[in-house]
Amino acid sequence: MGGTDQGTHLRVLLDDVHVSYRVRPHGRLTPRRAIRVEAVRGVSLEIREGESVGIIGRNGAGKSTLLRAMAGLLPLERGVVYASSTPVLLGVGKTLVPRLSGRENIELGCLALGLTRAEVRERMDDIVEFSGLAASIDLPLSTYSSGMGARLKFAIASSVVHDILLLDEALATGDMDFKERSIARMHELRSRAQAVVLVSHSMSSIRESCSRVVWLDKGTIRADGAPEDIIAEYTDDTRRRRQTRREARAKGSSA
Amino acid sequence: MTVQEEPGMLPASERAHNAGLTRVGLRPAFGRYLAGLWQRRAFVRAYARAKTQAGYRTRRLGPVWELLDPLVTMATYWLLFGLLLGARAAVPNYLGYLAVGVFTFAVIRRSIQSGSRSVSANRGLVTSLPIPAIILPTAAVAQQVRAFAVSLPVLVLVLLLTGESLTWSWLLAPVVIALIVPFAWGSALLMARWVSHTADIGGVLPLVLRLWGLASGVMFPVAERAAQLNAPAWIENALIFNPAAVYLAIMRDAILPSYDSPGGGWNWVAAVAWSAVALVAGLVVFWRGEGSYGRD
Repeated sequence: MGGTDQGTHLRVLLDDVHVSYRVRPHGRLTPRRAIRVEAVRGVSLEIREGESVGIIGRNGAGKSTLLRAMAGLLPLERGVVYASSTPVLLGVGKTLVPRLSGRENIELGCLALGLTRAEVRERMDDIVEFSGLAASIDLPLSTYSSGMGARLKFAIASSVVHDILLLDEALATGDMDFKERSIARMHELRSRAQAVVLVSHSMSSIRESCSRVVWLDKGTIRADGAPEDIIAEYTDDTRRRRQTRREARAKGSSA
Repeated sequence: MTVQEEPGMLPASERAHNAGLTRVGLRPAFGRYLAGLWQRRAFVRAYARAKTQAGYRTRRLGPVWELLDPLVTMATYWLLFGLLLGARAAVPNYLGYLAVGVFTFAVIRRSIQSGSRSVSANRGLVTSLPIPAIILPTAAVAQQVRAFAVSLPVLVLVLLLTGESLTWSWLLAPVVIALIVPFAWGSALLMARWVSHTADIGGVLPLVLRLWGLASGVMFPVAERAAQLNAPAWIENALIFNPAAVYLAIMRDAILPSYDSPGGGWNWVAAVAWSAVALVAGLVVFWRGEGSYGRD
């Protein structure tokens, strides 16, 4: 695996990746003709062994879509994703099966991640303990708060070591106690993974854990480089935007 | 903004190849796709079991419904078709005839119905976990087959209580089930792909399935009735050899000795053919849609 590559150890390569969704706006009676919303438009990226790449950008910039495309969970409109092994996405946004209990969801999630039944049985107690949800583990997921659901999902997903790890906002979940535990777990996972991509709105967690930052804007890469530089550029841009908005509002109310 | 614009740089595909990378998200070849399903059989089993139990938990009578549902259906049909419309006179043991029809058709109907919804209802699962979508309809069918197994003793009881004798032909019942399962699975896969991009089908399907049951002789011997009415031969043949009618016929020939199904031995030939066609078509069609299931 990758042994032929001389010293560079390329792990992930995105070549001009385009992803678009088809959505149907509501008409009066029937849906109108579907329109295409381009979420990712032409992203090319190379990720090498040992890198941990943070992806930042405003809401709707295509960050989560890009991660799901990298994991092969979304069909690409155009372009190709290459990887040394299928990147695994640990997201916490979606629950698994709401009608099933936490324990059943752990079982299903782990089986889906490729563990055997015996391995699932072996790790069950650890996962329950790590999630800190022992008291409600046999209740259906639909009774969980969104924070509890996120903790369960993270506990499931992080119980397996992956070569290429994609994380969607995983650090920003849970209370202080759980956050500390999950940061520790993340460090462990990252140290064992060959490459990590992290999407987050928290600049501190990006700064803390990434060796490189990509700024995604309207589906394309706006900047790519050292965390400090890109984060500074991004924060400046956000501040400028806010300033412009404030001025526009002031102008509007004075007129 | 493509990387390969720089002169002297290899195209992306070659650099990927040189580094030993492979394409992500490519639909696997048919054989590997099925092998992937086989690898996930533990997931399919666990999912079917968990779904069944979750269904029980929300109802006070829990698993009793698995028996109550066909019994209530039977009672309704007995009243409607047997008593009011006089179908009782058409077959020697009407209650037994009805029991085999209702219990057997329930596997087909419920497999197709819940299988067809399984992909669109679990969109979140398909787009957030690295699982092939085929395991969802497969698990839905597995769940219905489990339910059938639970209700089987009641069917046997009804048959014995209504005076059917245990004969060697009862040994054919497992064979019949082994033919029904691939048919139901294949049909569920076909419908699942269809419903996943045209949700409207999911709304009409329950009605169509009920009518199909009626036309297949679940409630009364519809082909014999058509013959009595001097219907053209092609109508009679269509009624006899439609897949559901075929499976009901061979099931009745196996465990309802008091009744002889129209079609005779040809039913077995038709049953094998329908199972093979439905299974192959379902698997291929569903496989070709893989990769599009999370999309819209």
